[in-house]
Amino acid sequence: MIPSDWTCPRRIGFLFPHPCGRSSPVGCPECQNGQIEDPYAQRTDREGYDNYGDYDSADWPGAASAAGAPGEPLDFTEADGENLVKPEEEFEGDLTES
Amino acid sequence: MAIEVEKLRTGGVYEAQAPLGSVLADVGEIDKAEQQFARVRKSRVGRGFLCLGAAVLGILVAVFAEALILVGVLLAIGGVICAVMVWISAYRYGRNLKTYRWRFELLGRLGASLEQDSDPKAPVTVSMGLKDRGRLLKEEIWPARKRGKQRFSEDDWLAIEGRFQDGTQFTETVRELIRRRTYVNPRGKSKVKCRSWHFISIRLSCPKDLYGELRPLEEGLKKTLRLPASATVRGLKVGGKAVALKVRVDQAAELPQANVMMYLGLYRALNLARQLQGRQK
Repeated sequence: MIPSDWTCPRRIGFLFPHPCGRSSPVGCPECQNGQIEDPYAQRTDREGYDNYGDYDSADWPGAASAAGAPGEPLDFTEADGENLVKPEEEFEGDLTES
Repeated sequence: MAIEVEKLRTGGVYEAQAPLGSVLADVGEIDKAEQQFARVRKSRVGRGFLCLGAAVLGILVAVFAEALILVGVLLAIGGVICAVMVWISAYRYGRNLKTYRWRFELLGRLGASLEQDSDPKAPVTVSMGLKDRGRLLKEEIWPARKRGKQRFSEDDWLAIEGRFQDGTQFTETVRELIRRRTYVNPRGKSKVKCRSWHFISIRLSCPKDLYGELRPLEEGLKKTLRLPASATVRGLKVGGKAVALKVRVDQAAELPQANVMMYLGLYRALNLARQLQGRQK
């Protein structure tokens, strides 16, 4: 039984991730009834970009320097991924949080 | 939003300011209109044959019925004239949509990709040319061939502007550069050869607080951008909060693929910028 105020927390999107926000996974074309854990990351239709979410620091020297870790791998954590979905101003705008 | 089919047929321009979903529905309508025009063309070709049949009948009357020779001749001449006129009108009816079908197919494919991330509340502005609106750039002698001439023209046939869910404004234009060469071959026949190149320009203007400084991404973007075989990068500008990319595509069949890959390449870099910006906050 899905609670009436439930919204899907999964990430969807083609170019960038954003919250799904559907009220039910039933019949959802993105997660296929909840079977796909991360519809954004598990897409296979990005022509020429199989590793869309992976970054090699050798390819992105400027970005690695900007991150304060030149030469080190640009490995991102779950928290970094979360930031992609929910921009900070959304948290600030939501006064019910904390 | 219902499209004005007759205006589309005669004017050859589709313009809209509506959510992307509505534009996609319009593309479906244009496709249906093109199919309807094809049926009209086919029916007119059939009517042309009826006119030709009347002309043949007129000839038979003129040959076998001496008393009706004048009627037969008039019927034959009228029939031939009618057949030619009907066939010309059949050829021309809605021809622009048939010739430029690939253009609205490209808009359909692009729209289907962008719709997944576009802001449903923000309308997109679209202007698409579905007939030859080429502006002459230059005309010159082509010395390589006998009586050779070449003329270059350009057609800015697509302009699309809108906003994604992350607040990024996107602007895209597609320009076709056409070279038309005419010459006389060694056997004395006049020949015409046409070739086209397509230039896609995309500009993304991003919210600074979300993406931060974009300039450090320029080198990575140059290294990792992937395009189809006939596409080459003609320009890349990375500013503080905007990025612009221009690509030349030599084969029209690769346009939709190149177009989507451009957005993917740019946004892959933007996603990295956004994650780095998130770390710094």
